Amino acid sequence: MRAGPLAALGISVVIILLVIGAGDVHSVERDDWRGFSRFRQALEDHGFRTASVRYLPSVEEMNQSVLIVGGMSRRYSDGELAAVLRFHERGGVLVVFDDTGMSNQILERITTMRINGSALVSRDYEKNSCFLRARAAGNMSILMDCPGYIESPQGTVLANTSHDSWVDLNGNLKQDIYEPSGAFPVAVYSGDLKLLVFSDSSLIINSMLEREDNLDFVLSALENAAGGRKSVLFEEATLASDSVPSAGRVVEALSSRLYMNYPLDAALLLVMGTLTMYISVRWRDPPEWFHICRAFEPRLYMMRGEALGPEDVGRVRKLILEYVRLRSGKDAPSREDARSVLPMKLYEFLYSDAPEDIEGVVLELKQLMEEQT
Amino acid sequence: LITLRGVLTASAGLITILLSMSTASMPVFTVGFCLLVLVLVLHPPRIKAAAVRHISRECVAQGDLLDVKVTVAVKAPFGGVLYIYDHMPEYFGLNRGLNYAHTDFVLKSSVEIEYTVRCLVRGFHRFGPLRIRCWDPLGLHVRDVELPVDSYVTVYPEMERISHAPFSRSTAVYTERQKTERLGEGREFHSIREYLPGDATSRINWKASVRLRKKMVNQYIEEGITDLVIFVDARAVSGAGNMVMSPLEYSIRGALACAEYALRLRGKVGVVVYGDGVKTVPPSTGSGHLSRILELLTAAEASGGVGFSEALEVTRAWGGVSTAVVFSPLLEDPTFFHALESASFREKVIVVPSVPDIEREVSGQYTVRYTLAQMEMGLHISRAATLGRTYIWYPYRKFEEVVLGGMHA
Repeated sequence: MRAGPLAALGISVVIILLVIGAGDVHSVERDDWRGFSRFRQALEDHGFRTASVRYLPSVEEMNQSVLIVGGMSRRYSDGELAAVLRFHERGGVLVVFDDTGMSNQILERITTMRINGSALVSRDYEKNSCFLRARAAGNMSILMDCPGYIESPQGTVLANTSHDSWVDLNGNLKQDIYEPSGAFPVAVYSGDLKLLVFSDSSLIINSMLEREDNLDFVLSALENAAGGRKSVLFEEATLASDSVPSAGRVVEALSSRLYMNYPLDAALLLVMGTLTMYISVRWRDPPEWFHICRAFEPRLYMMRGEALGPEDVGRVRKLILEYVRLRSGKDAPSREDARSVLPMKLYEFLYSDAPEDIEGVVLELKQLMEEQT
Repeated sequence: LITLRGVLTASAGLITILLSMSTASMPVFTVGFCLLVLVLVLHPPRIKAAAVRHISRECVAQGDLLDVKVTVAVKAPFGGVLYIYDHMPEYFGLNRGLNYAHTDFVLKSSVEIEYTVRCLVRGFHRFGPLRIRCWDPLGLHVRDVELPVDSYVTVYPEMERISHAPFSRSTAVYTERQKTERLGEGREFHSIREYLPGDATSRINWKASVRLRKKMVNQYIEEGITDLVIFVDARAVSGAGNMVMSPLEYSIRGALACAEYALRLRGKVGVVVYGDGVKTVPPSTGSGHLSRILELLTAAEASGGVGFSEALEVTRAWGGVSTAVVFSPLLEDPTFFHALESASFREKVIVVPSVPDIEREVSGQYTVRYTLAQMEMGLHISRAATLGRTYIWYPYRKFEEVVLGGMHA
């Protein structure tokens, strides 16, 4: 009866997991249309060494590298943000691909630039108006997928949308009178700030990378920004996931969060762990639900304990005195009476401040009594 | 109540949700959420249960077997898992069968539990309540139901019928004041009276009948024990050993044997149990009196510290009692010897269950501590022997063996 529902639950979980798929959305490990694997390959073909970073504190020391932040799905913790900023302060180059504005958390600590996450649409498009083209330096054309745009660009604008683009605030794909229009910057590079910003995280996904001049444009911009650095890091600590992560990934993420001063998480885990243990102990089957026959449980009075100890000295002395009374025939025998009827060992025990060998004394007294009998 | 499994499932759900936030994974969140919902929604069914318990006897002697049969009828809106536990006295041992049942049930079922217990300890014992624990199909929650189906059993102490008592048979007849005037079948002639229907013809005094010209019968003075008081030491120290073998248990067996013997000889017997206060059955005679004594001794428990002197005070109101039999381990009662010495009984008998030997049997220890305890006990017994006839009762002996074994010199 209990196996059926359990099996059904297990099967349901497995089906859910299988249907949804596996892996982080924009991971360099993924080969499907949303992954960054082709971009990583292209970088490696151009002589870059690549690595993915899931534990952000480790980037602090890698300041001779380029850190690509693409597809952020959550805000950084204070610790994670501090690690990225220290990486940048120590000479690392930051490359941001973001169309949601999530990366403004970093930008606002470095520059006045911001990414506006409102979707741009254009009449210069492919398939639909969200799938727009932008004009880039070097007379290149890039294809973007619902990009945002860069506000207050600081540095060199590398790519702009066409003039008949507008910010589709109400999402109706039509240009309304109150919706800002014109050429919007979508890629900016600042050499002073060691910062390269693209307002579209889809620009380098596998399905878009080889469209138009996307690859050449991004590669040239990156090579320029890298300034001779040959190491490229992909930040994957904040990637969105569409499936169950591996055990290693979970441990990495969890340790990262706990290490990076997420007191709420840590406290919650601690409280839950403690609570679980407490409840586990408390709610076992009550002991009165088991029959234990207590008829033969010993309740010792005179023979409680093993060897004789200092607490028994009084009992033994009382016995010796009683023996002396019987032998001497006096109710209150003197020391001399005791001396006359007791062996030296018992006599010393009777009047010593620190009596020793209590067990020997008891055995000798017994022998004495038996002889007397 | 939530079970351990339920707690772990809920915790797993919460932790999974936490991880899903950490890893930004929607599926992980879904799994955690499902687990939590499962724990919150699934509950055991509300059952309707009725039970009947049948026990083979309501009064048994210590050590006898008792058959118990419990029938439980359960109805529920949906299935679950049942654990039925019939609470039995903790001093009884299971001899056959089990006092619980663990079963799956579907909507409506009837469960029978049959078992046999050995009534190891005297006293008034209760069977019940009947406890039912019901789980949901996944075992995440549990619901307890308690049915107040109680049955009571009285376990009387083991009674030994003795033919030799530790006291004299004719103690009372020496004093005129204490001579009983009850007329019976003894041998000492008392007087004659007119024949009444129902009188035995063997008792007719034919000479007197001829002389007085009407049927006359002889009347005799009853011979035997007249006034006997039995003291049972039920202080906490008398509980040394275990519930089956302790000074109190031996004392009760001995007291009962003495009382039965004395009553059989038509003596008057009073019993005093002291420890947690002083409880008495005043001196009387007859078979109904034995039942009263039996009730008192069945209920005796080793507790409290009321000494022998207080017990003795109570018996002063009973007038001149000729014989006293005291059952006591002689420990931790500084008033004992002085009180017994000053008591005005013509005959004093002290029966001492040997605490060191009882404890040695119970604990299996044969150490120097035992030697010390034995010597202490020896001193107490030597002192008691100066006050009256003193018997030492070693474990596993019958009371009559103790009496026949002779008193302590």
